Amino acid sequence: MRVIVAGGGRVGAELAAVLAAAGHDVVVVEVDAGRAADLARRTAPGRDGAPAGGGYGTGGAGGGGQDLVTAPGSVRVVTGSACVVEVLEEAGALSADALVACTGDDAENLVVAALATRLLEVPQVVARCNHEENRWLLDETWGVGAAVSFASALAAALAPGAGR
Amino acid sequence: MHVVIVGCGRSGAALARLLAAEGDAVGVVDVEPTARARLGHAFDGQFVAGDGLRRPVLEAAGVGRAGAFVALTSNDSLNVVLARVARDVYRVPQVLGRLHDADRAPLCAELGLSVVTSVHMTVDRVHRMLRHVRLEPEQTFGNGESLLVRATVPAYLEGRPAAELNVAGEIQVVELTRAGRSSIPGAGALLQAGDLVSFVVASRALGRLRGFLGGRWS
Repeated sequence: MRVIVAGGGRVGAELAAVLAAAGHDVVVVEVDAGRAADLARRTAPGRDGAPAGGGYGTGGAGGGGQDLVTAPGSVRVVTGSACVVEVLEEAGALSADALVACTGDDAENLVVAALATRLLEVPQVVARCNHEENRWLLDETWGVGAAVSFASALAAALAPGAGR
Repeated sequence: MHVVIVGCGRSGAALARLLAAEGDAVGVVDVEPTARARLGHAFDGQFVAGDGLRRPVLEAAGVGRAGAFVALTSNDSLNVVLARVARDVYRVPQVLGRLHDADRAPLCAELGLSVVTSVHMTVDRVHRMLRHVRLEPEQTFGNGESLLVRATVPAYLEGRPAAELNVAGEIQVVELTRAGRSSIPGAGALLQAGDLVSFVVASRALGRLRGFLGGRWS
């Protein structure tokens, strides 16, 4: 699958690596140029010192963490705001199979999700829910197919059906 | 009318004070409790400290009975979300959002949200003041793409058809006031020196209109 990850902080970076390691082609959109460059370096193909497996980097957001395991898929990094149509187009939104709105700001995630579904017709959009209080907002009216928070993901893992 | 304003920065506070002074009931929301100070002592509306995306916060500010809602936070995405929530969840009849720049304007158009783009408005205004000092608009439309301007007909256009000033897509004569009486000029209407003519003009065509009128506005 071709997947766009909007937001290249710690969660976005690790998500991109997990998806790429599972064979998907991932494009990460990150607005902070320094963080984007750092992520591009950590996910560059053929880099030296890639961990043998498992480790997905321990550095904080943009903090020069370890290389990320991305094979057999790929990770490309686009610098820009995922709230901008042209940036999402550059990230390949018109041919993407899915997008994950993964920034640390729930309003930003809603805007990205609405842009992706309504203007770029990305078939599947999943959003990160940073604050459970905002869950009521993250729904189909914004193009969000599924909203996932750490709490809901953990609850779902613990007891299927317990979380959303 | 009850008006809810989210974002009590300089713009939000100034708008809140203006509306309150005009007699509207105003509910202001800001995530930062100290923002209340911007409203001043004379402000007789309500201030709610909290996250504007929280329903209890919006409801405490009176969104349920609001006739108008304005999203003026510093976060453009948040303003888009707030405006849509006010319109679609709380059915507020009149909703406006402010965007600092135009990045999210296409989405707002898609969602049918009315927004003002502050950078556009500033640039447009300054541009006009720099280049077209004598074409002060009576009214601007959208983000300033179209303007209503009025100007007095100079002597050298005496006897020319008003329709000659029209340019498709750029300039349209819409009204003519002669000796205090206003009319909508027909196809054959002729100009007289001293007529006050109203034009709707595309902002990019202001220079052209000014050229037609010799730059000699009064």
